[in-house]
Amino acid sequence: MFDFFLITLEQSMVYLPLVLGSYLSFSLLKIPDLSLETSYLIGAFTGGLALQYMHGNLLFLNLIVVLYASLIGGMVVGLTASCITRYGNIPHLLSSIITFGLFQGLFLLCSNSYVSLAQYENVLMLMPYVRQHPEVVTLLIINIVLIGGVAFLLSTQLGHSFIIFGQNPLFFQHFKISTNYVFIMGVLIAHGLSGLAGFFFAQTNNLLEMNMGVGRALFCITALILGKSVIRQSKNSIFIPLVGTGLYFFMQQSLLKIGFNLKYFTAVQSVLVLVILLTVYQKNRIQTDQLGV
Amino acid sequence: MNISIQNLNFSFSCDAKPFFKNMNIDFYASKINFICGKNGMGKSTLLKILSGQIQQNIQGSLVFSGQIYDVQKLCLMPETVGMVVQNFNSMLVDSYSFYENLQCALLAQFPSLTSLCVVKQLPQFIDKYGINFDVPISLLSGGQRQILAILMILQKNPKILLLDEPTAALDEENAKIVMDFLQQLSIEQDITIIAIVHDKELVRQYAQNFYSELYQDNDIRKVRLVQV
Repeated sequence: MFDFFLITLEQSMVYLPLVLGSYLSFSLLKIPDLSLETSYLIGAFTGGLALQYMHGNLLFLNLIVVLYASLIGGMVVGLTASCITRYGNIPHLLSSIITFGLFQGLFLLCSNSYVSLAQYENVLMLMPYVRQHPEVVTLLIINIVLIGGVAFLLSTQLGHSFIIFGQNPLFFQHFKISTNYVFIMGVLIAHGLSGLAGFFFAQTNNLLEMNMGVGRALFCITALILGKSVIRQSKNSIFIPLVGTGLYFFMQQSLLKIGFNLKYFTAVQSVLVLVILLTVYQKNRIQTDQLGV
Repeated sequence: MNISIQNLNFSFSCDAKPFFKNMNIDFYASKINFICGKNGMGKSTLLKILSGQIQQNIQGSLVFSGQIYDVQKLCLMPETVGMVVQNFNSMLVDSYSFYENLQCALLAQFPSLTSLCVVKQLPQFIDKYGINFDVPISLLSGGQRQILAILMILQKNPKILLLDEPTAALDEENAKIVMDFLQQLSIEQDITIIAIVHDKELVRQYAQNFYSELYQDNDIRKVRLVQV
């Protein structure tokens, strides 16, 4: 039972930054930000690159550099997508697809489709206090810092401007606030978090591969819808992505435990999303936008 | 009268016919000033010029408190002029409370990691409008939401408040609530209010002796003072 709990926790901690990022873009800014999948890949790539360059140094120093590298990798994708949207006057969904193509090509130009990280020191093993799961403590500490950071962000002017953008983007022009700045900053932070999650995934699997980001948007939507169906409050809350991610992996591990084949899990996710939208959302009159989150 | 627009010339493009030609309008300071006129006479255009939203192909000056301002540069003085648009709902955040909306009106041009600003003290007479300050504003009436939009603009302490048809989206009862609020505001807060209002009954009830009417004479828009 303890092992079940630890696996659920570890999986949640790997993906939580991605869900926090998608919470900022899907739920608060309310944009169909599919380029989060691209920043997931590029964050893993830049993190992996930093890991190679830092090989042999102090593990703590490696960890810091690698985290920054994956954060910046994700942010570069976010900056590209958001600038294409705002300065090119292109719908964000289309910008996301263009960005995906651009960075997929860039990735293949700089790297193989599969890159093994097994020969480098695992930076997440900085605090290997739990024998079966040596990465969980480091992941937990990093995620606690991230949760605190996002919670703080949501209490600031910048965080409130993200919420306002999602509800009424016309608001800013009446008060001479830069809409482009708010949008780009929101996407930038969301993608930085996604890049971080991409690196966590690559590091815990000792592998990064070209298609590792594919399908992550559905995962994020499922986790956020799960969270929103439990935290039934009209106001935005950091607990939505937290609870959603936890529940998602609890469900996944439970299915594994009863012998369910995880290759069908994507289909299960879709059915789950549909059931929640048709039951809990409609019963409690939870408002849905284009992504339902 | 100590606010006036002098020799206002405006055209929509360089080679277009003048829309306003040598127009002069006077307003009472610290009072409600109404602008009336048929559709297409340029009432909203005039407010857009005064609020600094239109900066091209205009000439003229705004005389206010003994100072002369170039109308082309009114966008540089947002502290002096504030405007509440006709679709005031686009200025509000529905899920936020009354106070939270007021705080949002004080967001910086580039919002940073600082906390929300403290709201300027509200006028004492706000209590009589029965506003619930703690619930999401989606639960407030149209009149109360219009009052909120006005107070949000007033957070930046403008001396002149421009209102584009503030009662157009409201029923008779709510329209009176808003006009009553504006009247109290002009008296107690020393603010000059310039409002476009179509309802002549409301204008007669709240105007200070005169109101300005825009009309067209030989393709040129002119303004005349009409006694109430």
